[in-house]
Amino acid sequence: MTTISGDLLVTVIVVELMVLMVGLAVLMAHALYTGMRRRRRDAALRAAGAALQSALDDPGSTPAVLGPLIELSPRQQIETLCAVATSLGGMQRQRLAAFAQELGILGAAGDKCRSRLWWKRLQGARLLSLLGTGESVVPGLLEDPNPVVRTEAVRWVAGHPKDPAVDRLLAMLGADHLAPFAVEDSLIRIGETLTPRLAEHLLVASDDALRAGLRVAVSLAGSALLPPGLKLCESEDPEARALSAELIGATGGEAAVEVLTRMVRDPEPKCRAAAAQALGRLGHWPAASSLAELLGDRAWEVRQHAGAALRSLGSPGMLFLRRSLSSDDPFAADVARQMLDLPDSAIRGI
Amino acid sequence: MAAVNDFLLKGEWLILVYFLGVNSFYGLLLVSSALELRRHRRRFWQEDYSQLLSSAVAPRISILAPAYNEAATVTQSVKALLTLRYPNLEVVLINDGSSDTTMEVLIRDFELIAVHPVYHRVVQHKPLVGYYRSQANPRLVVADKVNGGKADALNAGMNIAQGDLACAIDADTIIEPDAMLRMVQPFLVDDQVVGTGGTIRVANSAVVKSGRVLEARAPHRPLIGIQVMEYLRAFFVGRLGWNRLGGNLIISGAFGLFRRDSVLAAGGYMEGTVGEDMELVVRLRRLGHEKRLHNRIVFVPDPVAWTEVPSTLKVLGRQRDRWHRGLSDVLWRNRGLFLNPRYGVLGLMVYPSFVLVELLAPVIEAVGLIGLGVGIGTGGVAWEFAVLFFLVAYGYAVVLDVLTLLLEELSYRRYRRLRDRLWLLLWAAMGAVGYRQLTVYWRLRGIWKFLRGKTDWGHMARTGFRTS
Repeated sequence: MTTISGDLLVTVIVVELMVLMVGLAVLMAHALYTGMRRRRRDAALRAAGAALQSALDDPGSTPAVLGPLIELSPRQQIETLCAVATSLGGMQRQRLAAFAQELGILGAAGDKCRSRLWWKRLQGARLLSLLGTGESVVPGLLEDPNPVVRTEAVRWVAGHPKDPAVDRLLAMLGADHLAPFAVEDSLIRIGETLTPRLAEHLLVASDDALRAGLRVAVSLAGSALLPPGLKLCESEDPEARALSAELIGATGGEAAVEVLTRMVRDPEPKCRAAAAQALGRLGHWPAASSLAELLGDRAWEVRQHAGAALRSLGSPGMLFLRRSLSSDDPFAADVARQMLDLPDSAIRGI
Repeated sequence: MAAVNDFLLKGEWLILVYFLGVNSFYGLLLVSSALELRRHRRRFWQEDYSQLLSSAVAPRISILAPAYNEAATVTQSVKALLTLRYPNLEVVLINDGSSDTTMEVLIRDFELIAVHPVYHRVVQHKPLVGYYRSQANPRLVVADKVNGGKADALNAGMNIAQGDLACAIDADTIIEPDAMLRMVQPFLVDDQVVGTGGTIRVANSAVVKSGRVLEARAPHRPLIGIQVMEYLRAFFVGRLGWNRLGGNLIISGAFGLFRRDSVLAAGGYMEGTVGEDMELVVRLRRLGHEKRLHNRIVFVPDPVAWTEVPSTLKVLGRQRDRWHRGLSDVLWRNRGLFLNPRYGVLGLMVYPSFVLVELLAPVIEAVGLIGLGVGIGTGGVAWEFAVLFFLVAYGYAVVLDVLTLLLEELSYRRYRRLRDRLWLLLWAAMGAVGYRQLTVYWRLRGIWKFLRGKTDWGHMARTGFRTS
């Protein structure tokens, strides 16, 4: 029998006990400390929040009324400001930024934006975003090597749509696979003022940049976007054609209807489906016969959208659907039967 | 006899070294988890999730909830799902041929009307016998189908769903209101992410009202309390720790969000396995390597779903047996990954770790315990060695459990009351002896059943959540 040295056993027991005791001590100390601190801290935060709210409500108030806020630690001050920032706009937000300036928070946030640590840059950018300021430092973060920081800067641009930053966002469309959602979302939030620049972008962009631009254009659907939309319906890229069909369906007009009626014969199923959907959205009843032809299309998504479009055309479309019930084409008859049985809520979901 | 004793002792030393390695690996995961948690909290510091609520391009999420004989809880579960905070949400409930009144309850409570199913059958599943939309809430779709198991139901849901992303859940899971806003984040910043998983916590003794968990409470029953610790260790340390060490192989079937087109392109959920959730994740990752898609699976710690865990040994045993059968099956099906450099860190580190640390652990532990007993009986193993064995195998595990609780205390602190934390400490200490050996038996049974080709799920009796 091989025996274990007593020293080894004791060493293992001591090491395990030590780690266990340290873990337990930290756990219990933290639990007790946070328990005791919570009540006092919560009261202080409530008082500071109330002082801040009354200062924001009263334009004549001075930073002096922020006594309870000043007494908090910088971290708690930031927490208090951030808690109200998201629900503020206009003058109140400017006042909040002014208070943050008084407390030295804005300066610290600006410094953080220049930190070499990604999370500090993120904190700085986020704080400045929440407070609605940061014109001097945040645009520079659009080129940040860290995608999370870059994304925050992209979100900031939606609230500060100055020309160079918007141009940078347009250049990032489809090019930054680490922030695709943020770029598109921010551009959409900029709204109507973006449409002339976006129209220019659509005319020169290609591939992913074009497709991303078209997705933004579909959401904005301004009249300035109709000409590029019409032009891009002739694009060689099927996805761009499908998105363009969606775009011109959203903007509307005679020219759009003409192009869409032609597009129901596009060689690509997704383009035919998009054209059918757009015609349904426009409620263009003269297109009903073209749409009825698509009920027998070989692609399922085309049949589905053509059926739904006919439903949304009202009486003329319903007439074609009923006729298709007795069609020799089993696909057309099946789609018609399905569409005639669906409630409106289901059609909206398609 | 001396030769036998010598062999026994050498074997026991090997097993002791194995335990030392496994527990140290868990320690490494704990450290990785702590670092990941710090990164995550920095990343989402003061994050304004409400921005996503007003976004015009928020990806559509379809929640897929398979239900089988859930008449007692289905209404509350669906209502909770419909009130989740997310701007573009659809709930697809799949009634998988329930033999109770699940369908009647749904029709009555959500004013369902039968419609023709209009969907593209990309992956195969058992036929639908009915398809319904709710008049009370248009975001709810119910598919009634012939019973085919969970994977089959999820495949039906994947076909029917309209979302860009599909969230697979169990119908009795309680998802926290803002969980989707958090779970979707990795998809928004990286288009290579194909799946995200969230944390599952134990709801048995939590305070639940109107399908929402109001307060986490530590259970007073050992069987449930020890499972709380297991879940904390598995999700809070295991899954999170893997984010840094090569990515996860598991997203819980009770709460996982996937890019729907990626799942459909991969062929959907595999039937004929009881580990369909893990199988899908491994296949998505494997295909990512084979097709150079760089598919990423990310675990996100703060979206939380609450689930009811088994409260009897019999049901728990069946569950653990099934889990281990699923693990064995998935690892066997994907054995080509083992130490295969073509799959990078997945083949060289993640997969081998799952084989050594998860799959073979009960076998090695059982051999170790039996060998120890025999060795002490024959006098071949000294009592000092037995003490050392227990210290390394179980004492070390208790230390890691306490450190896991410490991590929870320093981060989310879901158990607010001091006495709840003390209860959890007690369960951490108690789990090592008795319970742990029972799980070894159940997992061995799972391996045995896998080898015999059994694929049944077993019955899971539910007692319902405690309501305030």
